[in-house]
Amino acid sequence: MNALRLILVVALLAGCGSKGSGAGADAPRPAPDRASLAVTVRAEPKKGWRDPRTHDTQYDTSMIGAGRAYETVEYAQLDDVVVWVESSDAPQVTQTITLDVARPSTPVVVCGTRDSWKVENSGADPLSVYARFESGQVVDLGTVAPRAAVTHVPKATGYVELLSDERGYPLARLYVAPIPSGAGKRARVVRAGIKVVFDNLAPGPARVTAWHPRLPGSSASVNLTAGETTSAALVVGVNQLPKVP
Amino acid sequence: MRRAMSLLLALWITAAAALPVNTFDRAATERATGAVAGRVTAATGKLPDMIVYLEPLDPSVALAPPDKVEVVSQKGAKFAPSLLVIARGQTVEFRNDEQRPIEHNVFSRSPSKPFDLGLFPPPDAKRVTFSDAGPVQLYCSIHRYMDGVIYVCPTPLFATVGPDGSFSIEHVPSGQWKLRTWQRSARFNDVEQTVRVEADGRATVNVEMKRG
Repeated sequence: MNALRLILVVALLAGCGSKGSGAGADAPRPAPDRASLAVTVRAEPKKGWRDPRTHDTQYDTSMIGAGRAYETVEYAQLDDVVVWVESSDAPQVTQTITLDVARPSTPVVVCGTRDSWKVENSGADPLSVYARFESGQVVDLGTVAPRAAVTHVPKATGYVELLSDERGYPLARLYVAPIPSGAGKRARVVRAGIKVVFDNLAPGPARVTAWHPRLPGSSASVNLTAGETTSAALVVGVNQLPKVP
Repeated sequence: MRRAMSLLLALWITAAAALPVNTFDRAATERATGAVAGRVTAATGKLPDMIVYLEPLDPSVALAPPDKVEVVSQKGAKFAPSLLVIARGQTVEFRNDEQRPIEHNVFSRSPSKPFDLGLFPPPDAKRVTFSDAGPVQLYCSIHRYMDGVIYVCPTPLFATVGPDGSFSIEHVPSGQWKLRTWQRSARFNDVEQTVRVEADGRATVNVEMKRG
């Protein structure tokens, strides 16, 4: 019986390790001279908060449904979490991201600082498009004629909205990660709680960061080992902010 | 002894360099009769939620913030007002004015003032003093659509731009100032222009907003 317990404990410890095959069991083992990084981002509600839908039987749940004023942040299904990894071997290739301004897209799209945006207009009307960066900088992308496109390379990092004088809502939402390119899948947009694996990385020190449009993100430094998958856990949520008494 | 004196002198010089030497208290600012007025224009569209403010060209000039504590209410899972403009050093009271026992958790992750007010039910209130200039985005960690902005101006000399683009900043002490713009939902790049205000004088500045 004791031997069985010992086997169970050893098996559990192997599964919880921060390195080795257990961390990326669902991903192929990296080549002997390359490394992988498995990242899980947990969206964390405010400590002490009890969801009234499950804890307060008197609570009027009709006012917190989707689209209503009191709709709550769904931490278990938090979308638009941007994750990127900075390692010593940034990809030399860049990518072009196509954004159709006639078909506004809500999810955040991620790219790197050398990646291009191809802003195309599949609609019937011309659109005067501009980009609003997180810093407050506004860049005119010009008028995009129907069935035409313009190309732009962002000059700043951070959150960006593509807008138009003719529309009252964002045509696209982007995040320019502080890496040369999102190519090689070095940057992803994920849902919280889902493990994402960055592969084909150079062994050595690396940094992985999670960002969200609304909630504070986090970063972690990791040391990648050749031939292995290293694990990292990041948190998105308010609990690390300075508290006001 | 000489070494101690040198140290004291160095400390005094450091302190003198760090502190503004030309401070206008509240009464001095209210007595000032200068003004800066003008009009903001843009090639296309309107300029909603736009402010203009003055910052002294001389960094040693400082203006005391108003004593008034401003209020941002949370009711109906909304911030009211959703845009508040204050001066650096001013305090804001966040009030949970919900009529039902609904908690809020107001926070900001803006670099100029990251904070977390914690969970608080109605009718509780919490106060925050804003010591650095810049925009402070407000959110609630519980309610998805609650967002607001506090813009902290470096001085109490600010005005909201009207629907016709006009503005007027009163009680401006004489001197040289930088007039700056800020838009809540920026459609153009913000502008900075230098303006000289004579004692009792009214300076006019017209601003044209453009994109880069």
